[in-house]
Amino acid sequence: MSAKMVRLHQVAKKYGPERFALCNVTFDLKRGEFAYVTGVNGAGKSTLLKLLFAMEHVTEGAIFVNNRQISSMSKSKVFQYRREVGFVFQDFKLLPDLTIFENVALPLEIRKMTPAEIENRVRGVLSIVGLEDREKDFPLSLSGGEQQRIAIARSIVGRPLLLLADEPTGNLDHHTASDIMALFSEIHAMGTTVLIATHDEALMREYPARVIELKKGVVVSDRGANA
Amino acid sequence: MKARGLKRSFSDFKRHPWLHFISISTITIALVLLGVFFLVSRNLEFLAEKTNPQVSGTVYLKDGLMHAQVQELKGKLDRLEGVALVTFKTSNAIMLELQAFLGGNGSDVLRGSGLFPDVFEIQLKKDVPSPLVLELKGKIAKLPEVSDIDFSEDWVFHYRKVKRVISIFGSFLMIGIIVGCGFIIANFMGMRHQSRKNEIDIVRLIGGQNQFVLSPFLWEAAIEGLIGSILALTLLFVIKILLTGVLSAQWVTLLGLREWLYISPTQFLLVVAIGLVMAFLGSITVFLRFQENKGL
Repeated sequence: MSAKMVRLHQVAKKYGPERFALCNVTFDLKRGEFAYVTGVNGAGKSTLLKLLFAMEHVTEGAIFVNNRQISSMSKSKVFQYRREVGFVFQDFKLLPDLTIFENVALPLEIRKMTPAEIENRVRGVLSIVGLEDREKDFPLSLSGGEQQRIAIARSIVGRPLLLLADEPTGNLDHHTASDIMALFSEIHAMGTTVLIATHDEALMREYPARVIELKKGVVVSDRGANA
Repeated sequence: MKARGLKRSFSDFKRHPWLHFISISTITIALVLLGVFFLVSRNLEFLAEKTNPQVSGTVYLKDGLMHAQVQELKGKLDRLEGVALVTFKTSNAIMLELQAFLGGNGSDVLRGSGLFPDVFEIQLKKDVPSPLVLELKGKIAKLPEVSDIDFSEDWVFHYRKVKRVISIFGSFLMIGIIVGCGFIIANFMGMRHQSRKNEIDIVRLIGGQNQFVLSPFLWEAAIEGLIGSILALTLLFVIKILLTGVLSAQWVTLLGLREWLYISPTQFLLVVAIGLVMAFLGSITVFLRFQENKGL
């Protein structure tokens, strides 16, 4: 098994004939690595994560995740791939009509797991995010931080090898954001490769890790946790 | 997967009861319209059947025919293509029938004998085409023992034309109702689809394929189609009872129609099937719309 979980090779993404969102992006992520993608608004962080989650196609270059080229994947394989990768959105993307339990259980329902397995796994991840006593509540009755915890629980319930998070603390106050980062550290400690897009310098200092900095779609620096 | 789709569709019935109510009402109203048409056409057909919509005729014989000639003619008529029954009636028998029909005064009015010739009454087989009837008439008229013939083909052909028009109208009505209501339901489904677009997008983002996304829509269609059909059939039964209640004594006497018939088993099944088709048509339209919008 390769030591690399993610490999981007000269990746470019163009919107329209002139506008490059990403240009010649090349980097690797090792298995079990924790890294940030940072940069100002419009630097290309979200585009990079969308490409990694196969929400968009690359214009040039290639992306490999767990030794699989995702940049040329068929639609049916994209659905399969998305079941193997967790994604945490800035706006949580929870379903307001479903209970917390049902929201977290959804990825497992899609995988046609048995009710007993689903119950077991959902209870497990709810206890990791500290919301095991709220499973019958609905998302809108929770605070922003709690909703993000539920979104994280949903993204890890399928035990992904790679967890992507796009500005997961963007809508949260610093204290809550710090709690969420602690949760990501905990998930990383369980062996999951984590890549977080953020521009929150304070959080990156509080939870130091490798930082890949983008500027106008180009990687301008790639420094390790101790750099 | 089936049970999950069903469960999710039931949750949607709880979440959007009014949208489902409107869809079911649309199906019910459309099916009641169609059902009333079925009800009327079935009862009209029943009345027509009671009045014997078969071509029949009277063959008037020349005077002074011998018994052997009459028997020979009967044989010829029996052998003609399309003839179901040939009955001989003497002029006396016709007179007696007429007197009986006119009641007590008949014998006073119709005295004497020889007012009518002997006749053969001919009953043709059902659904004998009009060209064959005309051909038969021609053949019988040419027989030397026959003085005149009188067939009832005009009204039967008229009846058949009306029946054909009714069935063509019914077919158009069915197609119109299916397409029209399917379109209306598709729009309601589309509204639900819009209200659930966020949900669908999220489900797709976490790996849900079309089958998972669409199975609740198909279950909803099946449930709506069935409920709509059952309601329509119940309403039709009520309409049938109400119509029977307003049948006047004259109609009962004149037509022998003591109560309105309910739709036939075939029509019953057709109503259920059309209800389901309308609902599924709505779902499939949403599916196609969904296919167009599925890019993420």
